[in-house]
Amino acid sequence: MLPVFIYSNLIMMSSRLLLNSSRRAKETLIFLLCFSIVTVLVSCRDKETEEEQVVTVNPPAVRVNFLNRVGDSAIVAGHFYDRDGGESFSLDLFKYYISHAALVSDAGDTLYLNEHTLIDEFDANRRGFSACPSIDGLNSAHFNQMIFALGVDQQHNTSGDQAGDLDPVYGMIWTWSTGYIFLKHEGQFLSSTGTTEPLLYHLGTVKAFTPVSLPIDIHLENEKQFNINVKFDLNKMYSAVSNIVFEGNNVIQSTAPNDLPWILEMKANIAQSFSIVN
Amino acid sequence: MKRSWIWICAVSCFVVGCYKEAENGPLGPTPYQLNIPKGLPPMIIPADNPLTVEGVYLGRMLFYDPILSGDNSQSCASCHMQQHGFTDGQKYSVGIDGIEGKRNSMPLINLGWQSSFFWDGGAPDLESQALDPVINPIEMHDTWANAVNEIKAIPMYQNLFKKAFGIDEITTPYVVKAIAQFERTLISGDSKYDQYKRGEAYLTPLELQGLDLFTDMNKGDCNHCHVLGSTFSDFAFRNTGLDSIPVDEGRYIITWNPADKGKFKTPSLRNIALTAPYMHDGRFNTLMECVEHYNTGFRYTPNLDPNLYTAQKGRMTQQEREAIVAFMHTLTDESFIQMEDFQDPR
Repeated sequence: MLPVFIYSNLIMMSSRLLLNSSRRAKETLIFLLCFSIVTVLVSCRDKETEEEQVVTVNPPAVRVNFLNRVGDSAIVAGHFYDRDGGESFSLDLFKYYISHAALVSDAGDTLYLNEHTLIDEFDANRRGFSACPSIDGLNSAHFNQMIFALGVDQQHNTSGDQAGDLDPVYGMIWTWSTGYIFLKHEGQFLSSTGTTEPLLYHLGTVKAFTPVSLPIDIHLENEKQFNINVKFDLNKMYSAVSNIVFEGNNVIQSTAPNDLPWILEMKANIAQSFSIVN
Repeated sequence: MKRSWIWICAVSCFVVGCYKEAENGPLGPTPYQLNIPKGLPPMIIPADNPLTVEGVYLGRMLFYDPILSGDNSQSCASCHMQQHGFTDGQKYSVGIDGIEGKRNSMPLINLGWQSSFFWDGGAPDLESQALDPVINPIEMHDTWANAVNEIKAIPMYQNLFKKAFGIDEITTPYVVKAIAQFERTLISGDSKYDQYKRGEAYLTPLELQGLDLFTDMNKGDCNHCHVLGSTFSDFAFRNTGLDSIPVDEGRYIITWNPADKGKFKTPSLRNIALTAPYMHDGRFNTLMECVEHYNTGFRYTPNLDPNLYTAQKGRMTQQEREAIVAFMHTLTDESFIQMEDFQDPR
């Protein structure tokens, strides 16, 4: 209401002035009035209205789900699973970062789906992410490869005051230096003498950043929904390339150079632990 | 008269034209004007966290608020007290669970000129640095989820965060941004030495002798690392031969580079007389012990700083060491430890 009030008063005052002033003053006033009307119109124009006039086609809606498994078994907190290698282990906490996920088309175009997502096995709302990537202008909408990384890229890993899934509230930062824990597995394992021992693996540092590449066969179309299910097999995480033995190495937090061999073994295993499933 | 009407019309038009813009949001927080003392270079401030009056005030409130610790018993200020140059005067700080830390509390002085934080440089910026003590089990032993929830529950903070950052939802990054803003205002540049440089004070003959020895490469040679004037440190990492085999591996813990074993950040000497005890582990109680370490006490350990490796042991007399200590006392800034703007605002 206020602009209308001011504006109507302004016009009234200007009209009276126009009647009573000299020719030169009248010209100046008319110019100023025209200028002001244009100014008001331009500044008040609603940008949203402009955008609404564009006819849009909804891009494909892509949902990526991460299915954490031990072999073919779904995960239940506290349940003990037999590893391929023999040791039994349980999970009370299993979280990791998936970053820079993308689909690569037959023509070589890369379609990014996320930046950083925290996957938490024990939080049903944190087992994947959704994206609506635009496929307009791509040479091909058929994708034969999915790429992503387990971990947080170096740029984001060297600054702590970050929002979204990188917010420190999720308990995935170190307490002794700036940086993120890429993967946490906390639970227990059964030792060779039959006792139950704690298992605490915190994987991180720049050396643990693990690129993953998976074959996929998916054709995206506008206006449609797509589900991509990615299986993460913990059996493979602990044995795909190198057999990780828990006994004697059951608490590792990537804090010292002594942990480097374990970090590199985990990295090699993790790169082989994901697969696309129907 | 007519001319004034023309002006009224023109100004009114612009007021009306801008009205819609203005009702979309407040004008935002007020930029904070840092008072950089003569002799210090301009401060580099992160583009995503400019200093504002509201942000600095919020950071000051948070700095003194024990809400950030697990049992709400300790604040940042518990281990960073103004009267001690924002250290705690202890060899090691004690966390909320009564557990003693392993390193000496660092002074919070002229932080805006540093490019890494903690003794080992484990944090690249002040915002990141503020994250760690809150969740470290031997310090404030909280979780960020809990700390942020507690802050959110206080209407005063809802209001202060809104004013400082224009946000309705308080999140961790904004908590540490505010604390970092306050910390960047903790500037010291009015010591007796600064006044002497500005021609406003005299140094005694003993202090002047200390100043000469400070820069004398065959005597104190302090200047190599604790660069005279400005910040009184180059903030590089060095092994100063405190132990033959480093008990605390320092910078190596961060970089995993064997050449960094036993290296720690060179601290500033500003207000050094207020921040005893000294070294990363608080092993020396007096400045005289520190000077004596660099005179005869350092050990020939791998990674020993080349400046010490080539320094002759016992090169300073007792009188010369006293002169250097006298000069270091001229770096105390009384106005810094009395500055009201740095105190608990409650």
